[in-house]
Amino acid sequence: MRKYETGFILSPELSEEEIRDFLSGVRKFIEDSKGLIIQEEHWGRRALAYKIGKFLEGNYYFFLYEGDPFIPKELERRFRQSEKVIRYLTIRMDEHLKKVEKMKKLKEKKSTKKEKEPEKSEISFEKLEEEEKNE
Amino acid sequence: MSKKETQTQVRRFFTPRKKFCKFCAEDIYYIDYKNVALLEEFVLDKGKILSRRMTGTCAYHQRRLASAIKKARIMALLPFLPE
Repeated sequence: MRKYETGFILSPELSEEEIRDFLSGVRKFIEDSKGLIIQEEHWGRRALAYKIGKFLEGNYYFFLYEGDPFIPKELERRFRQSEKVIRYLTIRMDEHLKKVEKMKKLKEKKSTKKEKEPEKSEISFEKLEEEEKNE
Repeated sequence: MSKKETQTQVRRFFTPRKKFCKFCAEDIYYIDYKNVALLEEFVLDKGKILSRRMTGTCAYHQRRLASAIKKARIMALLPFLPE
């Protein structure tokens, strides 16, 4: 099982119903092929940073899901064929997150080292005090 | 002798400020390409990605930042070129 994030831009000419149908189609396909949808993001209509074809606006949707590698492959094939999608992008998330966790651990190690150092000095300070008392 | 004097005599036009990596300071490890407001800070109006020398970002985060900006460009969240 791998984690993927697929984002796509739907044409601004679609009606709300068509968009709803398209989204439910995507949802149904992921669930039918034993995938698990973790998160959905609906941005709705938004201005594009540059012209794509003849469009200056688009409807943004992002799906975060878990499943086998053929799911994004098949989804992208469908996107390519339909004229409703202007742009799409799939990212594999699990490898990203692995690297992120590695980095987090490294940083934690560094921070714990820093915390330990002052403790040492405290101990030595106490020792010094004790020595002074003894004297 | 003259060399040292000239070095000290060089006028400073700005007070140098210590730069720091924003992502390290805020504990951001995964840079999301959907976070447009964050990415825009590291891009010129021209669409260029700002260099590490300018922003003080660390090498690890600059690599991730650059790829995030490029993804955002593909999804038309950021421009490739100024309009």
